[in-house]
Amino acid sequence: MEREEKVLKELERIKKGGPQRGHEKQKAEGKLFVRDRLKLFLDDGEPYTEFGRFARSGDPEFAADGIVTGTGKIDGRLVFFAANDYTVKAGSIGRYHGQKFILSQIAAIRARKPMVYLVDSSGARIDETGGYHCERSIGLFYYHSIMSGFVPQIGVLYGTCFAGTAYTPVFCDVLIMMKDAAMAIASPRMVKMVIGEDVTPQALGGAQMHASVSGSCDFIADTEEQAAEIVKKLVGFLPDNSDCLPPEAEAKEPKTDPAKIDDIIPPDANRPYNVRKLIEAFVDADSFLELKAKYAQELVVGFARLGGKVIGIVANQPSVKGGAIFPESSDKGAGFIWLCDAYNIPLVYLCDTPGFMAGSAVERGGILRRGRNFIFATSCATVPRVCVVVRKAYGAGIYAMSGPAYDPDITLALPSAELAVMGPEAAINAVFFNKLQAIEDKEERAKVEKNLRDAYREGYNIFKLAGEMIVDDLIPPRDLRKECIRYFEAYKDKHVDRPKRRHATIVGG
Amino acid sequence: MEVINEMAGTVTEVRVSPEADVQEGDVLFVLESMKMQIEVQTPAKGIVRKIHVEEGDFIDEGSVLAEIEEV
Repeated sequence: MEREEKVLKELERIKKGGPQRGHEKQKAEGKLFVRDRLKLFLDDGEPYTEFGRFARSGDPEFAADGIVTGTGKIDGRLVFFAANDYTVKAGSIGRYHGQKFILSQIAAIRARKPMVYLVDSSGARIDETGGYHCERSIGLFYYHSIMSGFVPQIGVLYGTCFAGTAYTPVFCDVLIMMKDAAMAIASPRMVKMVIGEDVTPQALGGAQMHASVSGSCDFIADTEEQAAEIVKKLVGFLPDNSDCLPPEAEAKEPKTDPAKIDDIIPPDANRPYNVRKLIEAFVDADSFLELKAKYAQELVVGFARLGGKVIGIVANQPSVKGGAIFPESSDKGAGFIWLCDAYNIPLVYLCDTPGFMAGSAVERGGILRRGRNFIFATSCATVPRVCVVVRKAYGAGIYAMSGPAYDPDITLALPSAELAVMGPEAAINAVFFNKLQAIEDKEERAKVEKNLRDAYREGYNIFKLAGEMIVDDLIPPRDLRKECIRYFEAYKDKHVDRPKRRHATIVGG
Repeated sequence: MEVINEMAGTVTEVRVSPEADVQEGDVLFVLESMKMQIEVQTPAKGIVRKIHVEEGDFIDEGSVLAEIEEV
């Protein structure tokens, strides 16, 4: 029929995207055309459903008004997506473009399914939207906020993204930036105009900066294929919505034999080691996906599988800054715990920290306020929680790390565990300072100090603490994996009732 | 290139002398902070041109520990 032919022909045109010059520009920047990009993500290489294809169809330069929206299947899982088409007016957000974006968010909420954003947009299409930024139909960040913690939101940023549109990437639960991508609240040109600073897009808001300094980016991808692989892995770790459990997979033995765990942890409590080695000897082989690996590296966080089931890991990293907790690592820990708790992902804490960092620099950085957020997130998390005292558990560090007083379902100590208010050097110095200073003979003073330290250390001997049930159990390190698997199984139907309130007053957990 | 201190603490060891060749990842200094030994590595391969600290110094976060000419 002629009518059907007409639709098919028009669809064919729309699928080609923007004009030739738009395609050339996209290619010159080393980026894929949006429909080729989607092929890297979706099972059949194309959307499962797509709506708004005819948006602005009367105008040949505005195919689908510059955005592809709909659903697709990623390894069999249905997700909603919104993907800007940079070949159409540089992916700019015009009226129907914005409407399509928001309608897909609303649809994802109704369908209770995850949403993937493939962001490649130069921002608002100012020329066509007079009162654009205040219209009700452009409240995309409103919907980002409402969706947060209800359905997973994953974002990939492909190009440069300045001003308002740069909020979509940061509203996502997890953000991947292409290595040449950049985002900032104001473009370099605007920055120059309003404050007089000369700065390049990369220095201002490049992927490296956001991954290592601002902490706004979780992954940097070198290629579009790599970005798609990361998204697929993330979808594999996350449930459809906050009422569902994350998907299971086949269990795998760890890469390193758990019998080696005891050798990984050095006997000298002040010696660093890489906690990733401990993680490898404990979780399913090749399952660990670290988030924000370049940011606040003294804390390692990420998803993994344990006997096929998804877990979140929060681990102090003794090889970076001694594993002390800084303002930045507090934010990182709090954010990750909040993410896991939202999506029913049980948490394993691997505690080996000398505590929260001390000194004027961190006080100015808000160590108390931001450290509080870390403790808050842990305290409020109702998913199953296992606290493993690997080695040092000094001071308030163990509170943030879900220690015995912070309502974990179980606290397991390894034989290297040291739970104390502070280490022996600091404690003896604090308590016996005057007494020690009064001893004039240096050798004698050193001897007394050593005896006091030894006696102090004996006070938190792990066998003694296990005897007093400060920890629930002391386990041979080789049993760590087995014990965690069994405790998570035992607590899989955990339910915790808390006092009714509107919500906590602490934001940013 | 400047070697910047990332964690406030006291210098317990200076493992390098001026004009020494260093490889990326070599340990230049050991600090003691929070009763932990913190190793400071060189961010790049090069020649040490200047050392700004000595044993016993308290060094704040963000201070320059050494300068390296990249090779």
